[in-house]
Amino acid sequence: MKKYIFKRVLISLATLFVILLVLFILMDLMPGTPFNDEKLTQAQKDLLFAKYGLDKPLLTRFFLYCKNMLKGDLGVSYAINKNFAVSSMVKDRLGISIAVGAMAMTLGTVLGLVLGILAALNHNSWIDNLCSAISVLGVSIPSYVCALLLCYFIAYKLNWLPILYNVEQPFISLILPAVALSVSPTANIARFTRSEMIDVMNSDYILLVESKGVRNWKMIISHVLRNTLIPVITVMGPILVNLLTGSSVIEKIFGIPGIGRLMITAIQENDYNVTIACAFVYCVMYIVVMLFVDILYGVIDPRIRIAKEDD
Amino acid sequence: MPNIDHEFHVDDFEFAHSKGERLIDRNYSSTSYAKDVWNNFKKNRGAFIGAIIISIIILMAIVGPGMNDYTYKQIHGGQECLVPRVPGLEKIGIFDGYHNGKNQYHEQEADDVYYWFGSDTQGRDIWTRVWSGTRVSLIIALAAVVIDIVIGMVYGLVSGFFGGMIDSVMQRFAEIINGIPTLVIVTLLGMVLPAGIASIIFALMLTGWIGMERIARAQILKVKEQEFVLASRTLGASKFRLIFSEILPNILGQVIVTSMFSIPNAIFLEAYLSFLGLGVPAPMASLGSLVSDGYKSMTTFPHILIIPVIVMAVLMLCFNLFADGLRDAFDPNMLNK
Amino acid sequence: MKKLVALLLVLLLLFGLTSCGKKEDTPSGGGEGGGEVVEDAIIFQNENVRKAIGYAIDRVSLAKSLNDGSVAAEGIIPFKLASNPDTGVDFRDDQGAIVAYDAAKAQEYYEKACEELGKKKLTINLLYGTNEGDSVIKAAEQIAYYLEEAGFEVNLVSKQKKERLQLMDNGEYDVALTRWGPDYGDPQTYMDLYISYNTSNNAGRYNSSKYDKLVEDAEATTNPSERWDLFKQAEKVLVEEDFGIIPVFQAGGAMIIRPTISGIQFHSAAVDNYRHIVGKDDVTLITNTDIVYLDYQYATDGTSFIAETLFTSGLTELDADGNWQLDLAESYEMNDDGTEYTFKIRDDADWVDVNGNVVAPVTAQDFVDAWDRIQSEELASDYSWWITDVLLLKDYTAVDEKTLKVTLEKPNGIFMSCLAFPSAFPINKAFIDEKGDQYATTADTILSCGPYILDSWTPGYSYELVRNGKYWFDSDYTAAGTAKKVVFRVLEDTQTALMEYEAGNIDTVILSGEQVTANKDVEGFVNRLQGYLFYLSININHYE
Repeated sequence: MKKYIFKRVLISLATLFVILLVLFILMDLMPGTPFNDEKLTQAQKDLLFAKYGLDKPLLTRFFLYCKNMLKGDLGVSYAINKNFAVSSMVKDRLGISIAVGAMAMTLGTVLGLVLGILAALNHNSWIDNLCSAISVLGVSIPSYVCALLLCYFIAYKLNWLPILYNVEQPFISLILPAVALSVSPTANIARFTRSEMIDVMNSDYILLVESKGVRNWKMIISHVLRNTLIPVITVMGPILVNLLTGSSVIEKIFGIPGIGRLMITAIQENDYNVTIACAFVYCVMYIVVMLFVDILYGVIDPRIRIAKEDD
Repeated sequence: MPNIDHEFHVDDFEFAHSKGERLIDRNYSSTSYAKDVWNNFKKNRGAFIGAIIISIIILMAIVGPGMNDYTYKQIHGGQECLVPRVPGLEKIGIFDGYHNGKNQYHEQEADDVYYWFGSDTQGRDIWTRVWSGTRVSLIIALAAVVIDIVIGMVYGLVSGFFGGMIDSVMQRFAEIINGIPTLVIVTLLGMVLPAGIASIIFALMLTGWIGMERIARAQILKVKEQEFVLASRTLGASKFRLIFSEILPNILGQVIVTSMFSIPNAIFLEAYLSFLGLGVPAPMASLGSLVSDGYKSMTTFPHILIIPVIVMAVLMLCFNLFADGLRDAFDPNMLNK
Repeated sequence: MKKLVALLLVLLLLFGLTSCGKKEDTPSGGGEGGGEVVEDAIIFQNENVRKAIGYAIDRVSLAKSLNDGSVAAEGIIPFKLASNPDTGVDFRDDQGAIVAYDAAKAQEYYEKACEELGKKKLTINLLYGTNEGDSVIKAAEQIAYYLEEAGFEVNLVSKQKKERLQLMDNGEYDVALTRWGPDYGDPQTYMDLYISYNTSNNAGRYNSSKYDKLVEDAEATTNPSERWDLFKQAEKVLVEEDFGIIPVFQAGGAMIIRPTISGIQFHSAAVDNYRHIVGKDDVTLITNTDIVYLDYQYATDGTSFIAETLFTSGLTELDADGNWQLDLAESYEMNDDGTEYTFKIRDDADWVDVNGNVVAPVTAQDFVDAWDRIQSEELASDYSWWITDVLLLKDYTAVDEKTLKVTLEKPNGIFMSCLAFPSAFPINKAFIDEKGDQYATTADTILSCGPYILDSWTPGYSYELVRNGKYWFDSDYTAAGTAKKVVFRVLEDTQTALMEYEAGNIDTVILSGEQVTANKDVEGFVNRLQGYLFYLSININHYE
């Protein structure tokens, strides 16, 4: 297992390196420059290009960037907060994005599991239909519409929660964004849990357990649920990353200074270093989460572990 | 005690098939795969209804924009943000053009004007825009998915079939693209490429094919070792023939199901791009751009938002139901779920 | 190990692709193929084509449907920019409308142009920016519609702002919806743009010797009324005679200000003044963009400038009517022909750090240092020309610690009011040298010499300013009941912002066009006019 993990980590690192290069190439293809401005003359633009070393060839810049990155230096922002160290910009905003993401993911997982299990236990009844309808609806309405609806009714009309994000009461004011953000993971997890659980309940070993006369609720907890959760873990990784990247829309609505919004602004402003840093952070999170899920999966499921050790 | 006759008589029994019927074993008759799928599909009520509604929406996307005299980009100064008004229905008090207790149409001196779904902030007919937007969204989603299938299948088939170093290189390449989260790469590409439908399709395609490729590869690895492929191989079939005529048909079912699930996904991604201002170029409409435009008026003129949201949600719901049904139909094992 | 080798192969492939794929790596960035944007470019040299465009647009309807307080343009000079030096009448009212909407005329010119060019149909690619606000997108759609009504075939080309500017710089466009925000309250800020040799701003290379002469004469003359008349003539040549550019609308800014607070001074041709807010001790204002750069010699955007005028001061400041008042200067003397000024800087003008402690006095040398620094090449400031081209300074010296003497190239009517702009503010050189690269990146790496101190700045969230007790005018501020704390909250979404306003948590809110109809009768609703003038730049002569 150790050898397997080591190999996986090595490959992930190499993949990240290549992804960084891909991002650099994309950045180079991006039309416009960070310094296009009505009030700037061509001579000034050239000066700025030289100042930031953007007149050097792509590969030179790439290796310079890699070298600096190893030292923790991600360059400076060209357009959003001029001359700011990107590393500090990203660091400040990453925490808050992760906080919202974690809240949303926890909520989505719990709700999704409850809905999915309820549906599976009451298979083919009205409860099942209701739960399925809720989960399909969850993936059918854009999150920003949900967010504004929540905001309007719960925060504005009923006055239960603050409308906007507030640094002084971060937890309370992040509840609404997290709920809005959790709609789609809830739906996805509910659907997946339901189908996995029905699968497990129809399997031979559960039939055996049933025939041995084990009581219903005990059987569900110790046999069905455990075997349902294993495949559910595999889909949580991609769902989590989708949720984090998709949060830019929620961040805009609730006025949260998060990394999603930063990346979108950076892209629109052609702020190369900030864009690369944000996109790269997402890639790192994605790959780490996938790696983690992969290893976790191996730990939980002996069949996979054995298969991987052979790999 | 009655006298019971224990004797058998000739007319006590008759032949079961005395009327010349032919004996057919209905339970185990052979049916074609396609018919099997169709029969299974029909049994799923939700999927069937989904399919019908999808057909209706597609039909409306084709004929809807031509049903009145407006065009999707025609601007009517002074007739902005009118609420829906439909001739006939207005008499019974719904869709009558009243907003906050006032007849908007009357106030704009447009008594003989009807916008069935109302008009947007620039005085454009929402009915026409919604249906032409549905058309654009469907085209984007379908095109993206078809390209996904083609690229993903070819890639997966080649990678899985040849194996070895080719497989390894191809898989690493796919892994790198997959390592960049979808929304990140779609947003970046939305910037790099010139605005337009083709660019959006390309951006959606670039990440979409990987799912398809995985399925194709996994399936081929499974199928490759089976007897019928071996048989074909021993009979001297070329690699090309093996891939396309022996293996491909066997994985088609699952690919179709996956692609059905990715259509709503593509519509959704397009909506996300629209919200970021990277959607279809104005004045063209798509469901995503209509929803994100309508979003800005949600608290003041909700009809501009609600109508495209309903169409979008119904479309997504039906595609999901339809895909669910299709999956069950293709895979009889799943039928009991 | 096989996997790693495979990865290496992919990497090599990518490197190969990048090294052969990149041939032209010009400093001006990746030039895009022009063929896509420019089609029938040469048609715009035909005057009738331009006239057809000019007459086709129903500016009044367009501005009305934007609904955000924007007004139809009547010329390239916006309303409330400058007033006649003799009569005090606004330039726009003085000149009157020199653009008109006439659908019949537009069609007539269109047909004439088709005939002259020997074409059946004329196509326009209309370039606009997608991230320049909703009103720009709406306006582009409307313009396209009106041009189609006149007979043109219109393709809307939507680009991000930076790319739009790049395309315009390279001449790779037909017609573009663009804007100019005035830097100071004088027609010159606009008229300068279209001189034939101004290659930075005259994207379409409008070329008229008559226009050049008028503007050059206006800038050379020392007689204010003559200058005024020459600018009026120049605008007529540019807009009415030549249709060199097509003005469309002047940006509005619909917002609600809580009725209990007052004192926000809007200037359409200068930085809005938020220094005199009264009615509440702790005011929270909305801003839809964050501060870009705290270094006021480097900043270019309105949001940064507004914050910077709060925590720094210049020799003068603008009052509610747009007239200048002395600020850090206690008094000044001017020679007879208005080319030499001597300023006496207040004894109680001090530099204050984030904690409100005095660091150093503001000296005449601070102004000299500032004006040297902003023009220095290393800084590459966007406003480096402010000192020479707007203030018209020839020479400036610190006579003693508190006495500043400046010489102008020629008399300059806007000199005193332009000193109120952040680009003319002083710096503390010792502090900048001490902080080095860190200067002006956080609240504690910048000094204050204005009525407020930047207390904190959380990028993307908010920035807070508290009153500077060491500011020379502070006791008067207290007497007037000026806000003790001004918080700017960064918020992009207008709908949640409006909810937050109605919930009472913020004191101002900016409205989008969609929200205006429902809120225009709300108490505190204002429709301020911004200086930005949106116009169509036509690519007349700018081809490779």
